[in-house]
Amino acid sequence: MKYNFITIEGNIGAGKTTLAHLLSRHYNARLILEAFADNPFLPKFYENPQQFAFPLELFFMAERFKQLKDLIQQKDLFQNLTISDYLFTKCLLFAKINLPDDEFRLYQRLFDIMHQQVTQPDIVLYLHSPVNKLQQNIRKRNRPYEQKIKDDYLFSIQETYTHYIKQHNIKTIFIDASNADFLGNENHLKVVMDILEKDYDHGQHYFNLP
Amino acid sequence: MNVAYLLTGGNTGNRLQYLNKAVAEIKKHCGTILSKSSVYETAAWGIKEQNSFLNQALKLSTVLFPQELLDCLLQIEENLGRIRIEKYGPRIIDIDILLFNDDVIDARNLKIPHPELSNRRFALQCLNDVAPDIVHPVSKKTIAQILKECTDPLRVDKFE
Repeated sequence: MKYNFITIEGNIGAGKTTLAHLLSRHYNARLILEAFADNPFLPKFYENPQQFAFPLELFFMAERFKQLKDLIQQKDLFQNLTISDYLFTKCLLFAKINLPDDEFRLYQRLFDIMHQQVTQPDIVLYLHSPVNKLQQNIRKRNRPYEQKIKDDYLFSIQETYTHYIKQHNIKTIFIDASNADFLGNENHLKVVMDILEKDYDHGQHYFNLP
Repeated sequence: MNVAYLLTGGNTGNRLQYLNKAVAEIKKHCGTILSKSSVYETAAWGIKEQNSFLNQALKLSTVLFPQELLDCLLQIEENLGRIRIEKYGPRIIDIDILLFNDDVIDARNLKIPHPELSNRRFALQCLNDVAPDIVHPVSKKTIAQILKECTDPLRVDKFE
């Protein structure tokens, strides 16, 4: 294993958390998962986005910052492998979609201060899946507050992510996850493990699953 | 007297027998076992040659301090491991400290609560048998609540 800190990213319902669990079990890695269940604004936000977007995003940023900041303080953990299912930048990307301009500028000021203090991953695995497949997965996992998410929203998340990754030249492995079944198909997991055995230049690299 | 919650686990050889041996050794060297969870099995996945894991949680009453308990458990792991397997072979039993009183310990070789507890369904499922209402000293949630929110996709079934 060439990496100490791997982040798995992707749209809502792309399979980030499942893959993070499986890899962490395989490598006996420290796992950092988004604590979405703890955000009291999430159900309210999906009912009434305009009113609850700012506290929602602020809460997420505070939680993510705390998790990733704790990680640096426990430096010895980095002798081993850590896997997370989100980038700190996720805050900014979602805020950009959900907040009006003036609120977003305020949010970004806070983000910039915090961003410098969190550890960045050595490599990002980005799970890419078409919107209809995401909707399928969202229905299947059946979190009540996610059931009304619109296609447009998923499209804009996807756009924002890919735009950001391309702009910032992050070492990113795009995996076409449209038919991904990491739990059921061991070859899919094997592809990811093989990917992680190699080193890559900065920028984007593309892989398919068998 | 301290109360510690332990998790035993293994996926090689006669797994059930090793779990029982671990219980016997812990009784002999570490303290009194107040209760035991059912044995749970996490199905094999991913890599072909991997056997499925058996796990069990134990509630232990002990006079040992955390570091002493850890040393004692490592010794037991090693002793049991030597029964069948060569010196540097894989350990056939793992014994982790999940919780120790309400303590939060962040030492180099010992982290309590176990840092992966909240992420691993097999650990939560076992612990939930013996301590569903115990509050995790960091997240301040009960074990039952953490289990309910756990996203670990690996299925855990009762064994036996």
